[in-house]
Amino acid sequence: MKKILVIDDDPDILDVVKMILESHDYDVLVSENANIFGLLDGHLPDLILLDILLSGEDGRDLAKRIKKNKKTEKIPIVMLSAYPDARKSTIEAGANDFISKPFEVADLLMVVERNIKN
Amino acid sequence: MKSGELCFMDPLFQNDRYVSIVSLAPDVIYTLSKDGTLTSLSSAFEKITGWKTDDWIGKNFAGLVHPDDLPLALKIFKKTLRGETITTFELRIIGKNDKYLVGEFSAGPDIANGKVVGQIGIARDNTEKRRREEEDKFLTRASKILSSSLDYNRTLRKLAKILVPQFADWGTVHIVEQGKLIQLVVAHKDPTKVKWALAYQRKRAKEVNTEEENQKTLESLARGESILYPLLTDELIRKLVKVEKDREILKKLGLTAFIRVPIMSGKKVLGSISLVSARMDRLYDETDLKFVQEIGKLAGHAIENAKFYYEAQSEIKKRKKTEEQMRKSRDELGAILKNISDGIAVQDEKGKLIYVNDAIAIASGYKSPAEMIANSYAWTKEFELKNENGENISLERFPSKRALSGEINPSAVINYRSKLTGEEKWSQVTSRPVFDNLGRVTTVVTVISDLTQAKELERRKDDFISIASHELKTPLTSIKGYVYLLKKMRGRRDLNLGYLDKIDRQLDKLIELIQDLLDLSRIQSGKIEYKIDKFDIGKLVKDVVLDFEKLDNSHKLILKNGVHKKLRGDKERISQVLVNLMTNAIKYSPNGGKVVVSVDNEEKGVRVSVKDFGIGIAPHEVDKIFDRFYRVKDAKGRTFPGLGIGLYISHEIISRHRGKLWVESKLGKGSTFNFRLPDRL
Repeated sequence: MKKILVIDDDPDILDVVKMILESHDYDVLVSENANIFGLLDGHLPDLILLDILLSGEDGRDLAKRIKKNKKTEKIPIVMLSAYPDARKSTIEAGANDFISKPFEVADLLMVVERNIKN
Repeated sequence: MKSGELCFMDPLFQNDRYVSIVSLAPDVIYTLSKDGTLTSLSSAFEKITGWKTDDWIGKNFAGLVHPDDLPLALKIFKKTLRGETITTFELRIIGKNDKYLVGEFSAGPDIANGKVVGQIGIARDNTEKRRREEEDKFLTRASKILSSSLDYNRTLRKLAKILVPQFADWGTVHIVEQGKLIQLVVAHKDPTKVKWALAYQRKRAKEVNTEEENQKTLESLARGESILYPLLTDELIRKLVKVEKDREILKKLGLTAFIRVPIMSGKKVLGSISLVSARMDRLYDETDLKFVQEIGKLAGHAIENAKFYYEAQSEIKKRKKTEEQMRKSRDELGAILKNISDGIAVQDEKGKLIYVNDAIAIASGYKSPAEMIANSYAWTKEFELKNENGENISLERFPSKRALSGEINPSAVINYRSKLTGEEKWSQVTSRPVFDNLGRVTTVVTVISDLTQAKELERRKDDFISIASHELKTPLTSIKGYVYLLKKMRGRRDLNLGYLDKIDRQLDKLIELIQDLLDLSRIQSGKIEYKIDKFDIGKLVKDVVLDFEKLDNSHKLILKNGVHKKLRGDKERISQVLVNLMTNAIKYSPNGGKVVVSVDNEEKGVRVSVKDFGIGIAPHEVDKIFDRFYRVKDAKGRTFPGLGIGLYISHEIISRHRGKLWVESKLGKGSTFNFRLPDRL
């Protein structure tokens, strides 16, 4: 089972995304903040879904750190945001893909699938 | 007997020769006996005084002398009886018609047979001479008065006062103003009489058509006519005065003679002088008339001079006033330009600065306009200029440069960074060339309006729109997700209806956001409505805190409340404020901790405080947090979720309750938001 780490400061989003992904047979880990490196000690996720707006940190900074870390640099990152024009800056920060909120679940699943395969 | 002396009593002189000499003499030659009896009078006496010599021969001379002069006459009489000769003294003599004559006398002892038998004297009629002298003296005095002051009103009053009582018992002066005859002065030596006369005139003016009278008088004056009534007989009065009552008054006053002359300047009538005598011994004749006419002329010159003077004065005054106004408006304009917040610069045709106001000098990084003008050509070079799209623009494209080359009213929104101060600003720059009549640019006026604040608000508004849509999208994302799950599980036995509760909560969030957005727009258009009721503030606070306890367990909520006070206001709106303050307290203390809510009684009101121990607010941000769209940043410059309108709305709600919302905060230590509501709305 593929493992996905979802990082969003909104617990409601985390809750629903987790349920959707689980209903499509993904193993889902969640975090409300950027302190994820503890979580990554075990076996690494196959994809990280990362929101831009985190309380206390910008998701793009976290993306940069993930991509700089030798251990995690290979993990594909899909960034999420309610700011539709944030795509460019997320890709620049090292994200592999971007999806704007609110999303069609089908689109989310498609993007996740596409990036996990790579 | 000495030779050359005349003596009628001397038989030597009884001869015809001497009698004819005496009778031919133009002067009066007389003799008095020792007891003052007139013993002889030459024939000139009759011609001068109007008396017959027989009327007085054998009578005492005292009867002919003005009572006031009698002591002098008697003194001299006694002296002559003692043998002295007195030359050239004046006595007033009573003429036949009660008129006084002035006689210049010389007298000595009348000696017969070596004994003084009486007085012999010769008298010359000096009446005319004296009168002329008097008049000359008076005219000199009058011209002095008339030229002494340019206030002709006052001058004419003074004139009337010297005319009365010297030449008349009553005197009036009229002047012509705007085609009307206006009485300026009524003079009499007795002020109570003047009062009486004025009162009578006022009373009379109500009964008699004085306008018509005045009109007639004016016409007569305009013809330059003078009037002389040497003697006002009853008959004459009857003929002249139509109103019975006036006649009575005139009689009562015992008026005897009248003169009226115009006050003229060239051919122009400026007014009139009227003199009335009330004494039989002061009747007027042609000589008096001429004299008063002379005064009329003098007065005319005086008035004309005064008028010229006043015209000149008022012209000077007017000019001074205009100058004053011009100076004032120049000063005002200067003050306005100096204090206006827009920058204003004026350049000559070469681009050299000739005027800058404070605003532009300070915004350009100079200490004063003078310093900026001293660096005239440098000012535009000290900026990095960009247009609205962030592209660099060359100095040649700066509006003032374009105006210098003749472009009409070039304007641009410019972002400039001062190389001196490093400050970045947005400005609307508009220049306007001023042309001479050959179409050449003579000056360029440039107005620079600071758009920095407007741009900042615009930016915040843009941010707000993007934040608002973000905030709206987040619950929508959740809802979409739950709906997806519900659909997916449709018909399944383990269908989780708990999703509906979650959807409901997200919808509540959306409603709350939309409510805030509506409030914002209502506040901005001034349409927010309040439902005013009585409510218990203590209970309201308790309810809100209890609701929070149900929802949030990340913070310890402490309620300190001993107040149960009824206030008037919109309960829902006050709750909204408290919810907002508590939401902020929780949001801005991300590491948990306490939030203390207290309600305190205050004089004439209640204070509610929400204290957190979170990130606090930097002093420079304290003033801005109640602004629209403003969101506090944390130590790393990051903002927190939210629309940035909560405090703005809360501030508005509390203000509308005549209350006050304020904050005490220490960066890094936390904030206390307080609002005070009055007992009575």
